[in-house]
Amino acid sequence: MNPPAPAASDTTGLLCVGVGRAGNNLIQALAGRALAGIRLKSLGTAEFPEPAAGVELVPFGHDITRGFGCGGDLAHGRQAAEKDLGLIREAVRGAKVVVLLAGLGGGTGGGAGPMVARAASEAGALVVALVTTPFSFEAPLRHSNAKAALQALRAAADVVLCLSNTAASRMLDERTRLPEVMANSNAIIGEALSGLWRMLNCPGLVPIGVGTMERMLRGLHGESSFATVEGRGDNRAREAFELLQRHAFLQGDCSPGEAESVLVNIATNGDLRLDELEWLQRQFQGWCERARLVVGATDDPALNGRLSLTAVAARTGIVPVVSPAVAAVSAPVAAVPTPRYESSASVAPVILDGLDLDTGAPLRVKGLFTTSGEAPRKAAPSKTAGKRKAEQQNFNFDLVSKGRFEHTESTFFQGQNLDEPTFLRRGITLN
Amino acid sequence: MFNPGHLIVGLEIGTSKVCAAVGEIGSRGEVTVLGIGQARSRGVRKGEITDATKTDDDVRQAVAEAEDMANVEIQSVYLAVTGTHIRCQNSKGVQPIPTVDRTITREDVQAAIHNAKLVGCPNGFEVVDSVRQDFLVDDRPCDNPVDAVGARVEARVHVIHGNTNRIATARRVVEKLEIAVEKAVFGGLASALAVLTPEQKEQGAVVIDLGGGTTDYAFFHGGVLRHSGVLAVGGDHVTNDLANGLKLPLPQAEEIKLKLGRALVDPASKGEVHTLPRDNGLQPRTINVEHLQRIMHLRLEEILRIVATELAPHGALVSAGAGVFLCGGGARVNDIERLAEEIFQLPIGRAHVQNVSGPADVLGNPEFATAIGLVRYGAMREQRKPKRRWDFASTLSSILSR
Repeated sequence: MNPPAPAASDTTGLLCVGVGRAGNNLIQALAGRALAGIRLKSLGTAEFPEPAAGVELVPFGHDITRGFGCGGDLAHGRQAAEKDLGLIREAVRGAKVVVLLAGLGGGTGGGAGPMVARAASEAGALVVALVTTPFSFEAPLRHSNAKAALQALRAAADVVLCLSNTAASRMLDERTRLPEVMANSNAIIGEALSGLWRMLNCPGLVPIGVGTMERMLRGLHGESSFATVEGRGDNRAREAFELLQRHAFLQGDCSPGEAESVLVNIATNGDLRLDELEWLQRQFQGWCERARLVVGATDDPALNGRLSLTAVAARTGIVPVVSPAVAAVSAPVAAVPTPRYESSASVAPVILDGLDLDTGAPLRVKGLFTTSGEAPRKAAPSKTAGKRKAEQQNFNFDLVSKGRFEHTESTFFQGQNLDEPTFLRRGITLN
Repeated sequence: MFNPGHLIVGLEIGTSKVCAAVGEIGSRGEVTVLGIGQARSRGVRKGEITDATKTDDDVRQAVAEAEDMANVEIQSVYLAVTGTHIRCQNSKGVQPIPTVDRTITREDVQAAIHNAKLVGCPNGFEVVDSVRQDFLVDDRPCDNPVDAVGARVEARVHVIHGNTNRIATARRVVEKLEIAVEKAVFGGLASALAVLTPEQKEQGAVVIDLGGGTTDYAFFHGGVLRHSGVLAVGGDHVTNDLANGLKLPLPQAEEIKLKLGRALVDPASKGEVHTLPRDNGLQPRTINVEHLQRIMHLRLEEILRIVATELAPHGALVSAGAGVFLCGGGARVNDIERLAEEIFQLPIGRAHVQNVSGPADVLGNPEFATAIGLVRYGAMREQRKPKRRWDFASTLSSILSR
């Protein structure tokens, strides 16, 4: 409806790339939103219908898929991307921030997605992957695909914002119609993207530029959580902050309190009050005591009296270690040997930059505690692995039960959940 | 003016107990507590009803006990409300005076107060209480603006909002027992009314009600309520912390809190252990008393510090000359006064009910402050109430006297 102006796209360099069918759907939905200054591209192995205005379609891998898509095979998707790597590199050239949109359950999104992210990263862009994992009712294959793809993506992209459709659908009524369920997920992704766009693109007193974002997020390779909420009326700041605290995506491990970097953007239509900014700043400081926190404020005329809060909480993930030997072989990505794939199970693992592409498991010795349930069995083939310093991962389970307050609203004060025992929150050990 | 022998009943549905106090207004307006009834509360968390059926029984039991003790029948009550949904704020309302002579009428003042009440009242919330603080006529302070001359009158009011549905839940529980609810009153305000004398309110005083599920606080200065609030953290949290830290089941943690609890870590108790009897044939458990005290100290310190942080912008830490008064079950914790003194740097006292007569053990019990405060609130409200239009006796007497 509102085709992005080319002049604006040059200044921000914000590029949105949809990969695969789900990615394409998201991009088409985005084309309807008035987000000036974002370039939209849709990469796919299947033949998509005519794109909406402002969306550039980049078909690839037709030699392999003959235009029928990957049929849910990760290996196929990866192979297609490898074959047409030149096309993909061309598509992401010149962008400062690449937002990758994909559904990870499918072959193209899951298989080619990480390759696109890597290509964009190599082209010098900050890569933010905004991806969805399948609904619980989908086939087990799609779930295992998504799991592998997510790990590969974490290694390739700077930040991975993952929307679990299973989690999102749990927030809905069971009797919600399927198109609405899908629309809901699209809306959440759309909201997150609008939030990112406001952070980077809208003018304001305290804008968060690409530079800040890059400094905060570059190289974390972790899974991040995000949420965008809106408040209105006199108490809008408080209302929005309370919504954010109770947001399903920011609970437990995903809470900004546990994050390493937290980016917050307060967007209004230019009527942000001093007391609101001050109050929010104080709340966030309390909530994210241990994190690097940046709070920005931008203007978006479309908000019209409402206050929109976007929070991105990023944590350090498993950093893929590039083994020198493997890296030398795979320096040009195209040089990776591409065996013929009969089925992904029957072939030897493909190793790219220290990452086992078939399982997506990074080749590294994990610390005493691993966050993912996978045993580090794949680490063995790499001889240099043993010499690397083991890093201790966070012990990842919910230690603090809510006890007596299981069914009550949590009490927050300056971002701390007061229902948790004080001595635990302060980290005081009873010897 | 007074209706001698008029009964006023305060009912507090608290997190740890349900408490009903029956009071009688004397001929000169003095209040006497005739009876107290209490029952253990099972359906309330953090000051809000979570299981109305259980609460129903508990209220019935407490009311029956109070009726027995006072030998009266309870028909209506003043009901205390608290919880996370309560929001206290100072707001101001302005009323321009458009008339030619610019004389401020009582109606103008009422309109200004009304405007102040509506400020910042979110959807689904209602005004529980509003207490007037000051008036300004053309930006000059004024004690009583009625009949003053000015272009506008501004009212500063402390307004307490509460979630309509949650208050209705509490009302419904009481009304199911065929008892009318005269008014819902914020619990923190009621406790303060019970324990402060007019002089203390004038001089500046803070009342902190350390309840089971919530901590309610109120700050008076210059004779008016300057600020109040609710922190949905209370004795339950202390118990929960102990259960978590000492790895005890909740009932046992509660028992040990009452038995060994202390708000400060006693250096003498270092290395002291307490042995818990086990009746099911298992090995007896021992717990470290120092750890227990440390866990309690951290939690109670945090609660009081948050209250201090909330009250500081309103000048409570400098102008509460009469001191800080503690009531509720938390006021019974050993050394809590010393802990509060460290934090507030003000004189600290355990609250004692003022200006009410009754059995000494009832008045001296800090846990009954809210219920008795409700009786006082009711008495004050009765005094202010304009005479009813259809009061049969007065109508008759006025006809006869013609």
